[in-house]
Amino acid sequence: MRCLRCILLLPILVLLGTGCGNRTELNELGITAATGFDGGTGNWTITYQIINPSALSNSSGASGAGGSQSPVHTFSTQGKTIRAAVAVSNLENPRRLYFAHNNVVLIGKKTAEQGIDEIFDNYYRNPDARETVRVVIVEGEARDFLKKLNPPEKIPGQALSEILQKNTQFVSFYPSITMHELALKITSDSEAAGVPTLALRGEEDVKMNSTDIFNQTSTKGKVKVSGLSVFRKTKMIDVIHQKESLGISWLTNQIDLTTLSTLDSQSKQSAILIRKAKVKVSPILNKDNNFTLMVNAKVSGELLATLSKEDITSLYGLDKLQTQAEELIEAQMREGWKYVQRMNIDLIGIADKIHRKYPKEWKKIKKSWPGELANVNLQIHVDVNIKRVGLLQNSFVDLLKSE
Amino acid sequence: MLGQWFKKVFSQQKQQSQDIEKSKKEQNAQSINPSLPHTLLLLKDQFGQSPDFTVRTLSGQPADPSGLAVCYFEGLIDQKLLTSLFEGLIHGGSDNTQSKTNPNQIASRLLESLPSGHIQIIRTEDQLLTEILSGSAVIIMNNCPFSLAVMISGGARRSVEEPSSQTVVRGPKEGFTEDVTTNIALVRRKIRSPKLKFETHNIGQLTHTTVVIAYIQDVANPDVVQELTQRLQSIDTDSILESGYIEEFIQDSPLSPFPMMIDTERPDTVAGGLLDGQVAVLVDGTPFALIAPVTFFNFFQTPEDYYQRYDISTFLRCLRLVAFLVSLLLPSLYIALTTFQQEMIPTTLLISLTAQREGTPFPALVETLLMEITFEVIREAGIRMPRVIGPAISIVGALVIGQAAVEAGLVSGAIVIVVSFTAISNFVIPYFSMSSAIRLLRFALMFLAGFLGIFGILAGLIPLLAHLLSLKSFGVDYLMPYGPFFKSNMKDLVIRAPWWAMKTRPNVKSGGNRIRQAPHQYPKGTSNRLDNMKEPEQ
Repeated sequence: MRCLRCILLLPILVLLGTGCGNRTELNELGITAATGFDGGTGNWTITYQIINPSALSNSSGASGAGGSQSPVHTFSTQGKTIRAAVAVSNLENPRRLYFAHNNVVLIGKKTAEQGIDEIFDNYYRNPDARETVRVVIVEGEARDFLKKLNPPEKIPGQALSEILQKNTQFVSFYPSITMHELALKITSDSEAAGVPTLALRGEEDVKMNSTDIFNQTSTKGKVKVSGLSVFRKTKMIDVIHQKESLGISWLTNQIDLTTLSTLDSQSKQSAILIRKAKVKVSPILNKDNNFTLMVNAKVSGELLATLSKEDITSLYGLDKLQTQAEELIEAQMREGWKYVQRMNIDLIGIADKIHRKYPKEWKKIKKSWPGELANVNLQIHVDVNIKRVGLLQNSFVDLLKSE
Repeated sequence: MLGQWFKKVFSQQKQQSQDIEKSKKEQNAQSINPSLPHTLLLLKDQFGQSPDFTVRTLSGQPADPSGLAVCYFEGLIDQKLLTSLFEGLIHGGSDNTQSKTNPNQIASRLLESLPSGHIQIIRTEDQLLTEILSGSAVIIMNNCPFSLAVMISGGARRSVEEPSSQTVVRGPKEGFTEDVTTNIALVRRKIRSPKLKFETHNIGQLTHTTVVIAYIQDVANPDVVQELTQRLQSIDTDSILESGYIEEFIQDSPLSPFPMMIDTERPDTVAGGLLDGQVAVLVDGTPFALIAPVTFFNFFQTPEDYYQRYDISTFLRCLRLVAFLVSLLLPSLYIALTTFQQEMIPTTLLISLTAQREGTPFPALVETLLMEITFEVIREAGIRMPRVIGPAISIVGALVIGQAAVEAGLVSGAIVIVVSFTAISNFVIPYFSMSSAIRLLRFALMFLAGFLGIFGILAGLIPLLAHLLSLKSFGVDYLMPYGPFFKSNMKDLVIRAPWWAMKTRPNVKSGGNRIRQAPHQYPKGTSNRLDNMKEPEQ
């Protein structure tokens, strides 16, 4: 009988003892789509973009009437530390803030320039904040950006995250970076990283702050990925734009898919879609104790458009196109390299490569490292292979002439 | 611990009842009184009030030295056979006047001349009553210490029909009936071998139910047959009305929710089991036969798996295992994910789930329980309800667990999908006993999930798995061949190998004779003869 009593006691203990303590029903969650960090040490302003589910769902649930409601609600709280700011959010917000589904973290430019160490600590210490979240720097205050809707996407936070991802995937200008990747890069030997930057282009449009924006066909202003913020350790030092950033993307082998516009000798345009690019960067120690950076790029792509009069049905003509593309890619790489040498910032991550390949030499140059960059030579070898020319063979202009 | 306690309580009761039954048996073991009037009086005393009990006296008065009486129950015998029996009695009786006086001679003459295949000599009163009750006509002769029981049982019985609970698209459509003799015949027609053995037991002091063990000699494990026989013999009860009684009396681990024997109303399932080396138990009065020993995976195999192509059978077996997991886990996973581990739901789904939950009054656990219980009620109503009002249940059912419940703001939309899919998955499991086991376990897991989330589900599943591993059905491990791993048995488990590849029987279930067929029976394809066939001339 005593055994029986013990057995009966067990479920009772399970039910009462745990008492569904940390149970949270779905409708008690404030699902955060994006967070913004402004201010700095001692005076943080955290902005949350909370999803309003009933506005997003077209189900005939009890709440009904979606549509006219705003899909997100944005508000900010202040505190001395980040978590203190989050804690006071419950003074004004009826739901528990839930960060697991956070898509993107926006960091204000001023905050980034002051340093983002605290944000990292917060993200690595707390299990509910995910390091897999995408990081982006904004020109201005993060809170302003989080208030903007981004049609046709309903959830602006998700839209920003998607823009960052699509940019990486299809043009590769400003590769997106997650909190964890950023942390890895700035704690590595090179101590540098590039983070995409958002800016508001065009006129300030008040309507972007309300659902009226969904009734318009175009907006006066647009939130756009505009550049790459350069970080040295945890502090942002500069913003670079397409020219340099694309070069960095090439040199860091982050090109997934991009379109090149080449010019031939008669300045006729051709567009080449890069489908596959494999860039190998390896440092080599010279006899005079200087490093040479060997860049070997194997690129394959397709011809998308051309005005060139070359006969691309012949290998010779195609070869010319390929050479033009090779030259263009090399020029783009040089642009990136120029920036690296000018600013003495190792955005390419050469430091790690040298450390791995020449550990003894690395010890010698470690202290003066970013300065040593000026003594590094660059040797580029690009090999472009155009695999397809499309359904048309010679250019259309050529067809007209031949008749 | 619980098991020991149950055992202690029940074994005390058993001891008492055994003593009572022993004394009863001793009383009834009296031999038949040679005097016909005395015997008739005894029968009148026992069955006198029953309108269907008939005594037909032949050859004058019962007190005559050559008196002869035929006793039977009207409904239990076959009228045609009875008529021919009487014809035989009357013609045979008027033959020889001299031997009329000697009952032994009469008896031996009757034994020779009666037009019936099955005649038995009975000597005790107890036997007399049993024979009459089991559908024999008993011929009682004056001055004779024994009687003759002529088996002419018949009367109204259900004919062989298509089984209602286990249907197939392809395969034999006949099912067992309530008559054990018919059932034995159905099995024997499938396995025409002298090695197919049937052993009869008589269980139940009041019902005297015929229980038959069937097995194939040299294929079934003799230890299992012996064990089964011994367990059947140790049953001491007054009634067996269905094979479910037997199952509860003889199964291993009686406190486990999982069934330890397969019940089937299909003769081909029984025949297949026998050929695999299993042992079947047929019970008179029910179309459901039992098969033992079984493993967990037997409950996910249907006879049809063997009749249709092996590829689709394999797919269907996988599907059934998935349906098993869904039916066991889906509601509890829904509860755990929506109340504890929301981070495991994709964002878009989370948003739409949250939107549905806006404005619903109950927590997810209560909501799910509400809908599950509603479904169980509808299901039970559907089974018990008179057929005539059948359509009503589908209308009401669709309203109660459907859009109406969502629109009324009682539950969220997703839970309707969860409950319906769980229910449908439960019907995929071919054996009702297994699906009922899961029905119960599902509720336990739902509570655990409601209080502890995914941790709770695991805290339920791990002991469940341990329990499954500890189970044995007649010496065979329940999770065989995964529990103890047997590679050779894998070809008829989740995968159903083609027939030409299944050379041997399953390992442990069968006895010594494991070879099923000759090797290398892979179809060879067209022979030269067919290749050289000429095109028909036009």
